[in-house]
Amino acid sequence: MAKMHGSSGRKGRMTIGDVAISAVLVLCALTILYPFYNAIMISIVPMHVYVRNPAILWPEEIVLDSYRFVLSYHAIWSGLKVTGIVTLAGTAYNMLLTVITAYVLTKTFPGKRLVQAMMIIPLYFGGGLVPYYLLIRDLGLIDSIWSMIVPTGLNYTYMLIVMRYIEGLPRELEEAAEIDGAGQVKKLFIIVLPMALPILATYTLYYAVDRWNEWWNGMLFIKSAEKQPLQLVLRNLVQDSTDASLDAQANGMTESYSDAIKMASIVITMVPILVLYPFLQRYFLSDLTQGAVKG
Amino acid sequence: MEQSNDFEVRTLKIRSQTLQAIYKNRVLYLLLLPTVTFYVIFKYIPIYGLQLSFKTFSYAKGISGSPWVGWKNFLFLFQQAAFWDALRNTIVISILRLLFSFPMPILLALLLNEIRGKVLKRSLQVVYTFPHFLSWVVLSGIVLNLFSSTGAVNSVLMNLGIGKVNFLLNGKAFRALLIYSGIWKEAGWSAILYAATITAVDTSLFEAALIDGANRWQKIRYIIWPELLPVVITMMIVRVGYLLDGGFDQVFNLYSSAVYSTSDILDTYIYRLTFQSNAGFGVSAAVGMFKGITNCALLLTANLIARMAGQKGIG
Amino acid sequence: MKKYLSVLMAVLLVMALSAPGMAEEKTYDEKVTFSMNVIYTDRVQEDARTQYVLDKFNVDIDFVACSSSDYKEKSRLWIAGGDMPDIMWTAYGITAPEHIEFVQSGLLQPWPSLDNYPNLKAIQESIGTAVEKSIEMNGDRYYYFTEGGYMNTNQIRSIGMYYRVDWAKKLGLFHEDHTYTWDEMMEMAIAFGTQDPDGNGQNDTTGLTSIGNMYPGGYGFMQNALHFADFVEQDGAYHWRAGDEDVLAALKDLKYLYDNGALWEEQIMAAENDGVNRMVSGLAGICANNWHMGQVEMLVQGLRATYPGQDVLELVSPMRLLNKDGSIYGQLSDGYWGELSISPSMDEKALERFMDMFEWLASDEGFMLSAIGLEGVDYQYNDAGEIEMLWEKDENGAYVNPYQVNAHRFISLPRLYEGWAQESPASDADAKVLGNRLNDWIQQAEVQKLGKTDWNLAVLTNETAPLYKSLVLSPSVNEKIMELVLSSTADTIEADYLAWVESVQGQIVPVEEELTQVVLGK
Repeated sequence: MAKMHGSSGRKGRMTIGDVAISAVLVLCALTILYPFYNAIMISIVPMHVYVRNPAILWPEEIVLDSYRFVLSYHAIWSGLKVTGIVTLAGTAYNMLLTVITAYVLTKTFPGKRLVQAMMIIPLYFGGGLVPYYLLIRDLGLIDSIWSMIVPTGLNYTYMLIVMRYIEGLPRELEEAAEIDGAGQVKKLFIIVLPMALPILATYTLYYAVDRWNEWWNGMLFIKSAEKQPLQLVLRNLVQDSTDASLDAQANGMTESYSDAIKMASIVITMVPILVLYPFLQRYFLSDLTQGAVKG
Repeated sequence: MEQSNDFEVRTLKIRSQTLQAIYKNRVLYLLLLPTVTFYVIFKYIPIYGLQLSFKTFSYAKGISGSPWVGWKNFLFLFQQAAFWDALRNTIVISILRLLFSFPMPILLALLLNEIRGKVLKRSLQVVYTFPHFLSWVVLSGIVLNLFSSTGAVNSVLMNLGIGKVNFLLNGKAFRALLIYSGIWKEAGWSAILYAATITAVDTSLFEAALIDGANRWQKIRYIIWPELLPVVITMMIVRVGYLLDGGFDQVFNLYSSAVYSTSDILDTYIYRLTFQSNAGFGVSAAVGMFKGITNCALLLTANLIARMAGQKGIG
Repeated sequence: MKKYLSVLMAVLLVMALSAPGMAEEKTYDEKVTFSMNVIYTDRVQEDARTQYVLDKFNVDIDFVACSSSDYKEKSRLWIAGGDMPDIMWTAYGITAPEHIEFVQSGLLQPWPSLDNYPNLKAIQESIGTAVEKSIEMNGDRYYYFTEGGYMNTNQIRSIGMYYRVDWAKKLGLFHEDHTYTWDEMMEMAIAFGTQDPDGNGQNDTTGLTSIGNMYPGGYGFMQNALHFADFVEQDGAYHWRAGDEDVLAALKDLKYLYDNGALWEEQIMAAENDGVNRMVSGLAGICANNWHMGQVEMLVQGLRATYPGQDVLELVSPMRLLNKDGSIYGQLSDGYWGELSISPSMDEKALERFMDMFEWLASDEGFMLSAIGLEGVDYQYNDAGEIEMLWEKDENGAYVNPYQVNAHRFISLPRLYEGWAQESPASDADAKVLGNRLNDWIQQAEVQKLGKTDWNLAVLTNETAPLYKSLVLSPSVNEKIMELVLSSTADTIEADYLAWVESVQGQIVPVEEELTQVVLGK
């Protein structure tokens, strides 16, 4: 039985404080949801309705031309595929580097300071765009999907938090394994990893979001239209939405207009997240609360 | 004679101890190899580009062959009013974020922790963390639309009799919009970290507090807060190290020339210098160098202060 | 003897048959590949016309993706990184200092002599000055300029204002001859913005709007204060115009318009076509734009969608707008839009094939491809030799263009068809009426105020005029004007602006002196 250990601690009786807090949080949640609701509304009403009252609370008339147009824009699909690959491969790569580095840094060894300094300095000093471009070119990564994966490496802040978490874990299991003769690799993967699951799940998601939203590297290095990541396709679509609306109108989807197309593309890119998120959050949020019960 | 012998012996001992330690930990070095390789290739090799801040870039001669011009780029930079504006704005915005955006996730985590209904808590968590998933490329479309002078927010303000606020073109209002939309997007997500820390608190402490008759606020202050503090401090130090960053993605996708005076930050200024002016790559490299040095100094100072106050820094 | 004769005959016959000019068409057996960047990449790649050309010349083009908003950034990066496509397209204009530096740094390959390519040569010669300046750099040609298509209009762009005729009639401001003075236009803009001309009871209409990059310039600065942000030769020396009397007057006018509700506030943030969109949606009454046929068609078709069943010619018209001195504004086009350059590493065979293909695209046949489309599919010639359209018509009687907007960005590279569109059978009939109306006024104006490029300034190099080339005014004149209109009051705006002009004199005066010395030799 998972315990709810909110500070009031008691079960059964709701105090005024409880009600007030809930009310405030629900209100804030509504303000978070409203912009998305508004975006959906704009994408489905005809232009004259939107223009009269932009704060549409209930659609008078529903028109799906904008969605028909965006969904037939194949660059969205190729972008989705590319971003999907980048997210999966990129996250795996990021997490591997992060976990290993975090674990090693909880140990003491000669040169540890050096390694830490090595990781901190680049946070502040970079060579700039031109050397970066030349490097990617010399590595043969221009116009490769890997140019959006390999340079992302690990995020120092994320790694730092994971490291602190591992440091805070109880040592007994690890020491017991050591006595049994386990080496570092075994300790890391068999002992430490399972214990650190909550934090790892959290940061896997952090990395996944970062990779999903990638467009900068894509803009710099990708040359083939089919390899452009979703966010870049979106950016171009939103900026060229006027042309898009002209095309749509010419092809009989007369009720679409540039704002609707912008919103439709935004809504469409949110759909994979909307679909996956309820499933994903079940895993990492519940792991967090379970960690409390065990501890 | 004895002394020098002693000294030599001690040095030899230390050296051999070090070598022993290295050998003992050899697996660790192996494990670190991928990370170190990554850093050397992607972070340190391009660093030779830093010299551009002291050169005038010539397309023909490339970075290495371009002529040295000493401090000329920096002097040129310091004469640009827009540079100082960008610097000032970056600092102001970062301080505003520290004051407003930084505490929000903590507050949120504390409040969420108080919710007892499982379904309500879970639903709220889902809603609050959702905006984080979207990039500013996408969100700017929504934000610019909502807050435009003909958008929903102003329409509501007009109906309430307050009158229109020019969020997108008025410098002060735009800056407020930056802070607010930043909170709206990230508070929920950043709260996860604090929420995770709170749930890691030993439940027996709560049971003891219950017996002692502690109320809600006392529990927060004496049980939860000490657990949160180290994490808060760590995050704050990291934040200080990013003082001169200001949030490129957000500003770049939302700003316009009307609000440069309050919201042009160093990174957006660099972007325009690099791509939209004749100033040359050397000048934008100089801004980058300036940013790097200042940020570094700030970080070291913050870390030092934290250490002196007895907290762990970032090592 | 006979044997020798027959051999000789055979040899002569073979020679005659293989002589150039005997063969009707070259055949392209060997496939050739090269890379090239083009905006609207995916549309271009999908376009049937592009495919036709690629098949015809047996070419495989690796199109490098770029969008209309990032090609400038990318092209600089490509060159700096030594990574430019074989054929690179940019639209900086020859005035961009980098373009000269690229040439002087040996980063580009000169174009082959156009003597062998008469179509291309003819197009370049029609552009004139820009091309000559390009050649002057080294004696070689380094850029090919896409001809802007103003052939039919004496190279003067159709920059002007369109306005809502029905609204003007409703508010009692309409003139039968569409002629308005500057003050009358301003009053109309204010009325449109404040007097609910569409009669829907809501204050949602704007007076004056424009495409993105014409703000604030097109709101009086171009027309009444020509070259307001430039260095101009005056009285034997170079002078920065930003602080002059007529500029101040235009500034005050703009502030007046803004304060009285005539402007769309967010014009400053508008993406390129947002302003025109507002007019199309019935939200704006006057729109300033470079009204070439593409834009006019967009307006006309959009209005039909917004006001179904109404006659567009009753809704909108260009304005015969008189500047304060009675002149009509026109802008002398440089004659081109966009330029092509060649990478030093482009394969010789590929370059030769590209030249053949490009020469064909520049021919009449090739021109028709981007102007209308494929013969036999989109149009055909009737017995009298006239063009007959094969497209379907929509319910308004206008042709439905089967090609995506902007998918022509590859095939129209030798020459955009802007001017011809005014006569093309494919163009919308109403659009042609309106477009030609404005055009005629500009061409026939007794007094024209013509903006034009100062080529002496345009091609200065980093060596001869380093101060001018590296001048970074923060902010620029445009940005300052936009900012002050929003933040100053009507009483203080002139003083604020002049204070700014004064504050940047430290950067300006050395440039004025340098230009006077370098250009005028003093």
